[in-house]
Amino acid sequence: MNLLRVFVLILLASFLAIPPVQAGSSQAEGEAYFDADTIIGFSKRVEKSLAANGARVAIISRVGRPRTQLPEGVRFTHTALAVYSKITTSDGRNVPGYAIYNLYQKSGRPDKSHLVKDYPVDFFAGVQVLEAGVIIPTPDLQRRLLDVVASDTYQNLHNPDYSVIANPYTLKLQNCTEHVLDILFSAIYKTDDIQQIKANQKAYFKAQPVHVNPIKLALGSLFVKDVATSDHPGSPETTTFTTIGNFLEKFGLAAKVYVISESV
Amino acid sequence: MKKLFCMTSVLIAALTIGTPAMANETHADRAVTHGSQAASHASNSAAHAIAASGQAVSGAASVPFMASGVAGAVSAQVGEDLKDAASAPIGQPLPITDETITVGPTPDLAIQQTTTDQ
Repeated sequence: MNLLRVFVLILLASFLAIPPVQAGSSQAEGEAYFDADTIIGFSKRVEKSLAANGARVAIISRVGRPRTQLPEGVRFTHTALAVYSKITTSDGRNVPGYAIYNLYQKSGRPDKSHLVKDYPVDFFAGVQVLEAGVIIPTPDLQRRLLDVVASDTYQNLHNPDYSVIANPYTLKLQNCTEHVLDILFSAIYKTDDIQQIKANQKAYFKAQPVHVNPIKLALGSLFVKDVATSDHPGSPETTTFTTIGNFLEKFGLAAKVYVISESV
Repeated sequence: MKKLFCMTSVLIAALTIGTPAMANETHADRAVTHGSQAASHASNSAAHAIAASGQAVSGAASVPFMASGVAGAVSAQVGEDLKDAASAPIGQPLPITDETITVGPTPDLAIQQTTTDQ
């Protein structure tokens, strides 16, 4: 009976030790790790960098967990689109700046997501590393991305069933980065047909293998709501900021791929 | 019982050895597992820290400047000072506000903060 107790305890311990993989896409990521001045300064730096490059739309990423705790090959934890916009403030003024188009996990329902528009300071509010990944697409791709963002297709390509390690080649589950990838393919191929988008991703996009102990992953899929393996017929692989950058660079669709960090 | 012991040993080995990428994940694992709990501490939340700084202005709405179908409508609505923002070619440096715009905390955090303040 003692052994049985040990077995149960180990199971519980292992379920608490599920790797973060992408570490989720929570709005503001909970607690603040930097003071408000630091976050405001860093967010404005990122915004100014996008504006200096004349980006009407860009792909940006943040680090919501300590880098050392992310699995091999995963550098950022949340990815979204930054869109140059006319922003109307609550006191009725119109100002130019960037709105961020996110897919966030729902509060209290991490296995479900919704689309949320916020601003750079909201995007970076809960980061644990002051670092932003930036991809500026070519002008042609930016124009097409803007058309998708302004259309119903942006919403229609959202799947609210969430997994941090969603398989980009299937339709069952989606995470923030996969939604960005779907928008990109919709823009590139000028289609809202998700079957066509997935077929093209299978043909041209190389996903990131998820290097996590299979036993941990199996237990995670049983006990942690936003970790699922049911959409992975083989070894798990998922979409990351880096793999999106690699894809766009390979096909000449990225004007710039760079990282903005605290010290640079 | 022997089988159970073997299974336990395998699990211990798997959990102890892991992969290099997972060697230091304890804290992050906790953060993921307890993500919603952390988010419920309104006083500590990142969004509240920004709002409480008094340096951010609420953004009520936003519309992309240059998407076909909406560009014309947006251009017609902007004042002279935003004409460049609406019409500059992609790749040309763009003006942006020096103000910090925020959506503020999510409704579930905002309601908790209101309660705390009372």
